[in-house]
Amino acid sequence: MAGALRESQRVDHEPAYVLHSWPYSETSLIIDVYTARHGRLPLLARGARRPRAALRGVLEAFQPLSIGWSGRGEVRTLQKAEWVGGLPRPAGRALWCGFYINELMMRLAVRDDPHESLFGSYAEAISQLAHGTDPEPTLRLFEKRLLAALGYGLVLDAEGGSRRPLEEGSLYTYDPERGPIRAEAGQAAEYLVSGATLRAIEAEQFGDRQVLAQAKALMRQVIAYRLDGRPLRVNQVWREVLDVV
Amino acid sequence: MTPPGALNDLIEALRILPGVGPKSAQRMAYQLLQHERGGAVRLARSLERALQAVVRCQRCNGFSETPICSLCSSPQRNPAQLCIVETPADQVMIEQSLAYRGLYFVLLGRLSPLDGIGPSEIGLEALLKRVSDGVVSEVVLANNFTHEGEATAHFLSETLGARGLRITRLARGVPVGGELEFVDPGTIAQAFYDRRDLPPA
Ligand SMILES: [Zn+2]
Repeated sequence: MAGALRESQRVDHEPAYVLHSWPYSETSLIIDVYTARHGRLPLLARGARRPRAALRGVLEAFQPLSIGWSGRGEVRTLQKAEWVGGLPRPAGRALWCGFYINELMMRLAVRDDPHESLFGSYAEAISQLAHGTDPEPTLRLFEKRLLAALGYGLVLDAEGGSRRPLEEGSLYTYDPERGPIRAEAGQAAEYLVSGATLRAIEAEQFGDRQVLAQAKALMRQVIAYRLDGRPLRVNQVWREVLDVV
Repeated sequence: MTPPGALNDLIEALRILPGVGPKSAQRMAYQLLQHERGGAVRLARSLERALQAVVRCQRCNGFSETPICSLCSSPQRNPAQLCIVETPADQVMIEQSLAYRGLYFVLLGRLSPLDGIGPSEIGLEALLKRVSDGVVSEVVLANNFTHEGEATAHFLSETLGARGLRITRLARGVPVGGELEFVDPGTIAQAFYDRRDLPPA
């Protein structure tokens, strides 16, 4: 009994974002949150779906919150959620990009494994999407930082294996485990990325159109590898949407 | 003791109701069989009758006892306006407001990208067919103001706007008669971001 009590957790005033939520029983919600000091965890929000619940309109994705929870076991109980505010709701294309970022977090960030730098990167990306800046550079920067925070950081300073320095004008393929591999002349590949692009990604400079296009192809491949080939639902739905529009 | 087969079947059947677990299903079954036998008969009959009589209206996808519902066939309604809602319950609420005299289309819910729910699962094809009748000129998007509802509205505005229709979206903000003191901060924040100029006096 004492052991079980010791494991019980009580946390208050924790910066957090809701990634997704699911209805639970008649009036409650299960929310998946990402927090600054405790990483990603599921919480039970009791009564959050009652018509006049104070939490209605607060437990929303893409909004900075300050939350408290307690309990033990896999699903702990939300005790408090306060609006920190300051962000418009992302709209249009930016909203879809927000769903994409949230799915990446849910699929790649392991539960109860905090990375404070990732929390900061996430908050920055969400803020930029909410303020309507071009989402593409925001997404590439977030992907780069997400991979790095989770221990999957890209090799961007030298060739994988040989560690030969990258040449700005040369083209490379990218092996997710090893890093950039110099492409043979005339080599057929899904995509090629220049040394200049790899350097720009390292420096987090996504202003150039060609850098953006090559970085997108690179990230797509590396992320698919980290997802073990199981596609993102958001991407599947988005492709279906594009087919119609 | 295990309850007899028929009772057990009833308990199992009641569990399909939203929010009803094994305990409440058992309580309901005992209540029906012990104290409410007359009501139970009425429930059984009306359920059976509804299942036979109620279909989805061919034009609006709402519940109806005729192939085309009374609202869709009413000459009192403006056929140039089509309001899109997520559920029949949303349609009922808008009707109660008496603010709208056009027609409706009931979607099968909303897009939910994180759950993998896309356009084909919300009845998009039927909607596209419906708006191509040559009469509808304005589509009113009354999707919910959740992120999923907004994503659905955005998608519909792109898809239907490309077909030359006027697209409008319900405004959001502080409830009428709402005292700011009792409104949640998210609603107030959005009302600020969406504030509008008042016309000069
Ligand atoms: Zn109808």
